[in-house]
Amino acid sequence: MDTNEKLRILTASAKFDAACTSSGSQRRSFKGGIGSAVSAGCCHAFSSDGRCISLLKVLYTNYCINDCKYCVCRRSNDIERAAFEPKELADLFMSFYRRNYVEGLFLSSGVVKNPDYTAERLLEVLKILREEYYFCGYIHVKAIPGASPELVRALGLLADRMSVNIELPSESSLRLLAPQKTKENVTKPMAQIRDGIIQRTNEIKLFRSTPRFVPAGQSTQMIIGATPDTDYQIIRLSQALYRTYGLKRVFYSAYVPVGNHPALPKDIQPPLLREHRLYQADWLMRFYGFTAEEILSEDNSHLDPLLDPKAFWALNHLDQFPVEINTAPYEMLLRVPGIGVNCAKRIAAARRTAKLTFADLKKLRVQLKNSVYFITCGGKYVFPSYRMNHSFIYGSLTASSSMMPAITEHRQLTMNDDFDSLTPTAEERVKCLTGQF
Amino acid sequence: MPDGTILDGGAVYVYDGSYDGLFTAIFDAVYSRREPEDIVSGNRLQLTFATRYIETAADPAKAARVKKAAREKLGSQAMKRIYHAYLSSGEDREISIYRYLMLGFRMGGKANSHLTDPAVFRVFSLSRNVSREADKMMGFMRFSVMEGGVQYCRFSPENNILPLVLSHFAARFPGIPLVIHDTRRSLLGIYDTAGRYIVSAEGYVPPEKSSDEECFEGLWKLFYDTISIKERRNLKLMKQMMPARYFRHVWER
Repeated sequence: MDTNEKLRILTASAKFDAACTSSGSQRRSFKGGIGSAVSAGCCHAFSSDGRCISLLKVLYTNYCINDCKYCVCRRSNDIERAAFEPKELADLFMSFYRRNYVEGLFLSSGVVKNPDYTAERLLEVLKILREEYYFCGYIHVKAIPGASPELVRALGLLADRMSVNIELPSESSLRLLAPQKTKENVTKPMAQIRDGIIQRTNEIKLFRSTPRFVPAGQSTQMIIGATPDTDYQIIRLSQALYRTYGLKRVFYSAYVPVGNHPALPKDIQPPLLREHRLYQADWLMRFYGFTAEEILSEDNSHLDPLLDPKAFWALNHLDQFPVEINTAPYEMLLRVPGIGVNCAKRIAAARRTAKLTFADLKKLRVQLKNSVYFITCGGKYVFPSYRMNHSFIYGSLTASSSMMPAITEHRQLTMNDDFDSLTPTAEERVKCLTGQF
Repeated sequence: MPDGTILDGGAVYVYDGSYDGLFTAIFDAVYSRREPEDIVSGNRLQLTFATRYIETAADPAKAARVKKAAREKLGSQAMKRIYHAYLSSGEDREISIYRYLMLGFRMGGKANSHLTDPAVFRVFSLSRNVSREADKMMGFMRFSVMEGGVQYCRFSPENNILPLVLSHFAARFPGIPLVIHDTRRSLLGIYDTAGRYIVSAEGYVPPEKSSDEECFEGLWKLFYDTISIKERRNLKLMKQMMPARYFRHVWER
């Protein structure tokens, strides 16, 4: 089998892994070496599904002894199988890298023979790259569940990021669909990587030569929509993972039907909107100081398809609004729908030197479309304050075009301004639920 | 009129287009106490009757004095910002930099948070625009290995980001000679594994691609097509992430 065929087969098997980020690691090349990594990461192309291509994402092999029902590579699936040679894969990767096609390597694998054997093969590839080619760029490698701790450590010393995929959000789903995988198998390497990172940060203070260990941290992935787990369960789990294992990222991957197990949904469109909302909720937990319990609750266990989670939260906490742009604490600015981290920082910097008006906010390129219902500038609303109730704001936020009157330097709004027709039409609601945006 | 001009349309300072030249012009503007109406590089000059033009010759010593003062007042972050704004294609970049610096000399580091000031905001947004384009380009540029081992890449950025991408790639591939060709400005960025140079590309003909280049391009195209999930096909999103101006060079799409 030639490299062409192998690349095709092993890419097709790897494509369902959502992680393709190259961020979090800073590396510099040295004389005789090649490659570098920037902590912001870098996208090199976007495929026709709109996802970023940053890494050469392939499996070492798609032969697998496991039979996970949701996975294309499961033993019982009748597909083409292939395996790279370590040298062959390393050479292919380097020829892509030097032409600037990719930012790094994402190496995963099906489990051949046993987890240790598989991990050794991955280690071989990484050794060729780091120790023969002196490659100083980004490498993401999977910790094969069940592999021995020594191998996980050896991989971690060469890679930038490691990941162990949880795949399914609850243990019952795992038992049902991935009988050979156990929760233990996943959490053990995760804990080991966490401890390795902590140990490294402690030792670097004493010895400058302490080798890097997974400098870009670890991540994991969950499949969304293959099992009946609720959004609340999912984000609770993510929160627990961020807190207890110090993960850098949890990826969510909308389930694309590839299996025929009776417990799996069939003929469904991948739940892309749900995936999107989960990412938004995830961002709220990582960058905006929200907890999972603030975003959802036991009774209200799914994210609203019409509203992003922050707007949903704000609508249910109108008592905390409006927020005065000139005096509100930074943490509260972050909670205003439509104001992101960059915007909040810009506002916090700008208000130190001048009192901000709505016109200033426009100048600072603050998106007023969604935030205008929740903020005042110098005590003034854009809308008359009697309109600021749940149904008006809900209607405005979900309406297809913005209802916001033009903001100019001198205009004062009057009661006669047109605020009618602010609720979404029936058609819009249907569209939203069927996911046609 | 104290300086003898009859028509007083303000002074326009003309510099040679170099970074030092810009700072020399700013130096001259400050010490001649003639508030500049604009600062333009020589090749962008459009003469009008009502304006008084003041030619300045780049002087590294003068430029260094302004740079040192600016660094002390505004900080090194701001110097990076100013350099990026200088590389942009915004017509008002020089005068915005001048006004930002003047504000900085007056109020010190506080000027950096004076975002409601039009000149400060303009420098910030020009610089953001430049670094954003450079960051994107660093991903979207594609090198070909040519006969003789040189790696060649052609691109046509909106801003003059050649120095930024050249130093990025020179640091990334320290052992590989590189030629980066800016077709819009007709400039060549050259890295010969010892140093980096930027020269004019007039009359430059790139060497032939090496014989196995096609094979690697085919492999990459194969990877690109295979990695996409057809059930998630979303061309609109793809175009949003990879706008048309980058499209030309990303040939695999």
